[in-house]
Amino acid sequence: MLAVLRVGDEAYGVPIAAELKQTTGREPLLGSVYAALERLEAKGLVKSTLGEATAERGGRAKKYFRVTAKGLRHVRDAQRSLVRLWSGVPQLRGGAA
Amino acid sequence: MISDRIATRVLAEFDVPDPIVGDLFEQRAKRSRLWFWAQSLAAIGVAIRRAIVCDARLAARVTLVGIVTLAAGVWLSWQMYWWATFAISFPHRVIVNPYFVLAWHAYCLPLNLLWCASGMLAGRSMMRADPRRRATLAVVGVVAATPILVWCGWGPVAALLRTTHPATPRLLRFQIGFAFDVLVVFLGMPACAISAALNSRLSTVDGRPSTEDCYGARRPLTTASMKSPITDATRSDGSMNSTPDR
Repeated sequence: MLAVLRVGDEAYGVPIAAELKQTTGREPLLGSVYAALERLEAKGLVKSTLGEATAERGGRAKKYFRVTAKGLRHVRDAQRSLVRLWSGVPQLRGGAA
Repeated sequence: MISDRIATRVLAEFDVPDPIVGDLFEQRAKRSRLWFWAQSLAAIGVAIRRAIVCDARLAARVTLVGIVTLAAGVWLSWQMYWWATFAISFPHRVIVNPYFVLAWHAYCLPLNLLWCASGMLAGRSMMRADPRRRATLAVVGVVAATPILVWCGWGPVAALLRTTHPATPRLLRFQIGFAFDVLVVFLGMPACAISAALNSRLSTVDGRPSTEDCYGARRPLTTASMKSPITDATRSDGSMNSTPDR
């Protein structure tokens, strides 16, 4: 969902996978990206719309994803939880190894 | 391009969603062929998993049908084949007899054909159980039937590995025969099952199932749900040619 948010309006399979590659250093499989997005869509966290069908894509439409209000709430909740968890780890205080 | 047509056909057979296929073709010009096929195979894997998750009971039923049909066909011919493979333990003078070698090949070839026929019958039976996801379920059925293939194939494999006679040209012909049997079992039977499933006349059923809602409603696959994924997606999201709501 963070990748979808980062990509913004042009969030379909290829840019989302590119964003994940750029941020994590590993290239995800397109099939897995769509499978994850479909699961999120089934939970109502993202919404998809079909875009234009271009010749470059063999006449197939792009499927754009955007995060719903419910999805955004989930992201914020997850962020808060992570920050709380992060701040409670004494070994990570001060940046010393 | 031929590889484009092959890729399109294969991806369509496995119900890989159109947006993924579009993304793959969009990236094809910028990426290597290896990347394209690796991503395509991964997408097929994801699609197969989704089809199983979508209707596990149906997948189990189709798999069972395939295994039972294949097992019946193999069981019918196995005894006859096993009797013939004992020839490898015959005294050396029998093996070097050219007529015996010829008779052995003549005897085994129909059995090989029978195995292939079993594979085709299994593929057709699986298709009858669900003509809509024929490629996916045929692959699942064949993978699930691997124990039967191993059971059928270990005889010729063992015969190939255990031969202790001194190497002669005639013995080599036996070895070639066994190698051919191994190929028939491990490649011919699965290939026959999958091709029979794909090419059956029953495959002209109108359209494919919608797998769009596999993670959502999990509705049972009924005749009403047998429609094109493109049509389905278009209906749920508006016109395909419309500007995306962004």
